[in-house]
Amino acid sequence: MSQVAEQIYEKRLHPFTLLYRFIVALPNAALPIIFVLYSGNTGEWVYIFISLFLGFFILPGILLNYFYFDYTITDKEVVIKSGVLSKKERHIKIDRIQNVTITQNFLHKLMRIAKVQLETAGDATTEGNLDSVSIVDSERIREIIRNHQHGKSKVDTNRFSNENGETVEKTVEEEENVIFSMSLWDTIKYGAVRFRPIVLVASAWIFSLFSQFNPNWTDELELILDSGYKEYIKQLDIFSIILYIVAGVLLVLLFSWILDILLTVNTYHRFKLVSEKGKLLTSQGLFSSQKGAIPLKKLQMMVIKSNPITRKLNFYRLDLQTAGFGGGDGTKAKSETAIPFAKFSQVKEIINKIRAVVIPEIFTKVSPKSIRRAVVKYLVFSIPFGIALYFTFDSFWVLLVLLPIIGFAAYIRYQYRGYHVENNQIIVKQGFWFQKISIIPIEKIQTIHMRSSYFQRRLGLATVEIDTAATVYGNDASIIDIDIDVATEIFEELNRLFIDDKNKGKVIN
Amino acid sequence: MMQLNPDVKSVWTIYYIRRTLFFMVLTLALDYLALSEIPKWPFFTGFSPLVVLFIGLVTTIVMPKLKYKYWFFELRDDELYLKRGVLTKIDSIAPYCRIQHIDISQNIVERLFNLSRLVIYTAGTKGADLIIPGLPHYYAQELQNKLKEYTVEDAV
Repeated sequence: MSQVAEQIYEKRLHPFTLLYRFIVALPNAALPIIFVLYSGNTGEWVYIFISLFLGFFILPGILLNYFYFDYTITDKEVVIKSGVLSKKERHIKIDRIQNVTITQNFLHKLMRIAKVQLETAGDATTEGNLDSVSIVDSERIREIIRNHQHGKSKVDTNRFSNENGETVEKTVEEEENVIFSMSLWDTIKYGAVRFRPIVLVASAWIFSLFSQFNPNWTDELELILDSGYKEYIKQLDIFSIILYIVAGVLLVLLFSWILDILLTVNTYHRFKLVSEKGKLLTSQGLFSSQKGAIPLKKLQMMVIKSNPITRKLNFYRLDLQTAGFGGGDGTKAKSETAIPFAKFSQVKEIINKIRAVVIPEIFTKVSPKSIRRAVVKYLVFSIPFGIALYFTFDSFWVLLVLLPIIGFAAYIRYQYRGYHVENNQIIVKQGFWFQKISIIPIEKIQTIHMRSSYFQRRLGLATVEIDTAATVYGNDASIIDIDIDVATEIFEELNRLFIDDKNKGKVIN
Repeated sequence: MMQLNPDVKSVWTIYYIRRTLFFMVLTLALDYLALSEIPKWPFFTGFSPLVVLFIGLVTTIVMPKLKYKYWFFELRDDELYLKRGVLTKIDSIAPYCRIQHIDISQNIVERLFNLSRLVIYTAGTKGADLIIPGLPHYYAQELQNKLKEYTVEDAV
């Protein structure tokens, strides 16, 4: 078999790229319009100015960039040539390409083109970006690179595809090792139980835009404050106000619920997790389809997430956090969703395909003294709230309502915290509203810290923090509020386990 | 367990003085522009900078000594161990094989006392910047060379 079919030589991007870039550039052209409009002169020369701007800057730029850009893919490297005045040639060795990501946003989809990103393991800046090529080409590029990396040639299938696309499509699908997929109904169910706070806030905001709220409420508030607000509050009809508030809250909740379902369907439509040699591939999305790859070698942490509602229904989410492609550059670390929504047994099954992990039924609990600390902490945090309550109801007794709530919250927090140290991994559990069970492989530890603040030390408590190359969210890998002696022990133990693990590796090598 | 060079106390004292001055200017501005506008503000203008000055003086006198007293580091067989902190105590372990590179840096204040800072980079996201301050320059270089031997280019 000849290798010729497996190469792409000095190919330009898809012609629709021109149209795509022009549309994307339009908002830039809007900037001068805004300036001109604000200056007050809305004569006809505005349009002349805009067209001049477009004609002189944007269009030639897009055209030149397009015609002076080509890419070559051989069995050894990808070469991307670009530049009009200063030429640039970027060579990316095929072996060093970690990841070929194909993404499509809505415009791409309309034009049936796709954006291909080549990510390497080395420097964060050496990334190839082909925006945009046709869908067929994007698949082909991915296929070629993959085949070269695997060292085996699939020339026949590729040649075949030129003659008969459909049959090949089928064989490719059969080859895919799909380990998880979601139906539309699954996706809707998932959206129905997410209740993301961000969506709630957004819908509350949208709701407030459409409701009959007085937009000048600050002025009104000032008026009320000036005229003696206590009288004002007394003369209000409390019952109807409460009714109003309840109805408003319910409406916002309903709206946010529907919005969340729609957004979720958009993001996770036809979600599929495919296992491939050394990595997991995900594909999802309705309007903008996303394809991603999780290199298992770079996997730093696995996080199982749930909220009280999904826990009741026995549904969990699995996020995989991988280290950045930039190595030392922590900002490049990212978290990818491997399973948005599945039964706990299924999540466990898939975790076990990645790594042998036994999630314990019962975790070791943190110190009960943490309840005391949480109560104090929550009391301090609720001071502003308490002041507000005191002034609205004009009585100290109302504040007593806060106490059981705080106590209960602190207790729940304690109940839902736990950890489990094993020879090859640490599992940390925390959170009630947003529960996270984080699994950190021992060999991925970067640094270990033991921290105890003044208030913690008064209770004899400490926190053990485990830092990996992909701690995307602050405290996931922290064992918070355990006895200082236990903390010291774990701190030393983790280090010993890590060093042992490293030494074991050396012997094998 | 090793301690830092005692001169580091003077460096820290200068830092604390600088910080106090900064916050005094800030609160002074706040006092004039915002607090004095509050109708029933019970204090005279210039009260909050005075509070800052008082707190600043106390910390400037006390903190450098305490910080020095509680700062330790140790080069163990397989890892670097740091122990420090006055109010919040932090113990850190950085295994040698995790160290990506090591910088020696010196700012103007440190140069006055001929001290250097060793900045140890790992691929970690949070504790990415383990810093040993207050080392004599020659010693910092010695440490850097010693640690460099262990540093392996290890894939994350």
